[in-house]
Amino acid sequence: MLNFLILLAILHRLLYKPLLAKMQERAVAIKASLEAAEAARAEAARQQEESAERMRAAYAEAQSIRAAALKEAAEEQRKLVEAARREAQLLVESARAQTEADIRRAREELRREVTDIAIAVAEKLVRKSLRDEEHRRIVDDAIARIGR
Amino acid sequence: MKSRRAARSYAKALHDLARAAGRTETIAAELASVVEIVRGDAALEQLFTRPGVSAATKRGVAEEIAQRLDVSKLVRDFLGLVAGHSRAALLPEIAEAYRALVDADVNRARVRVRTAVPLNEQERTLLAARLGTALGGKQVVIEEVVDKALLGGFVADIGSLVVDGSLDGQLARLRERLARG
Repeated sequence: MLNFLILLAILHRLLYKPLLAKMQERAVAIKASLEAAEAARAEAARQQEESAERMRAAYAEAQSIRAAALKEAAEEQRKLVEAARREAQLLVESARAQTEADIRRAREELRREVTDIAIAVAEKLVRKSLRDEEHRRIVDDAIARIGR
Repeated sequence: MKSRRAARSYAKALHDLARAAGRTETIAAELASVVEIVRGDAALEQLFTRPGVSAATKRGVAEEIAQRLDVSKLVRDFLGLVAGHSRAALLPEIAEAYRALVDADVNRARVRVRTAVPLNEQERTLLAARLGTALGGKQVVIEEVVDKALLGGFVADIGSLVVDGSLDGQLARLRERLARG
């Protein structure tokens, strides 16, 4: 019995204590590892959250840029269309004015030519056909018109 | 311009003397006959206008003309004076200026009338009367020129005023109206 107790004491001293110490050390290490893992996980989650936040911000910014670009493009397009419309209107008006001027000129020229021909014919006819009594009548009429 | 002024001066001097003698119209007629003679004879006209001919010769010729035309002493002396001053070339202008002065005396206007055919006496009288009324009661003397280029009627020139009673004028107005549309 004593021997057993001695043995037990020896065993306790030689085996149990180191084992216990080892186990405690191991438990501490495991705990430390667990804490580190937790911290790493929390860090990873934080980083992931940060990353997601940056992504959201970048996305929002991209959306904003896209909307602005679309708006600008639409405005530019509207301006171009408006300028083209004005230009076309000016061209139409200018062409119309030119055409009207051409028609007016042609009409005046035609009228002048017809008038010249008519007057030349009238002169020839009058010169051929005037007799003395008609000369007298023209003179009398002209005298009668003086002073009126 | 200078010769016109000189002609007016001579005419004015003659007019003053003629008016004093009460013979303005007679003198005008005599002066006109002298001018007609000079104008109708190229040699005479040349003699009066040529600078080489002496004033005494011009004066002698002028007096000879005056004697042959049997003009009054006033006109004879006047011609001698003008020729002596070597101004005989101005005679037509002097006569014209003198006639204008006499016309002004008697409120008379001369109207140059271009006609297609000669006016008859009745037309001439009527035209003179009408123009006289239009000119504010002036006595009108018609100087008629037949212009074959005119189609019909007449054109009367009264200084700056023109009375167009011609067919040409009517046709011109018609042309203007037709051209205007």
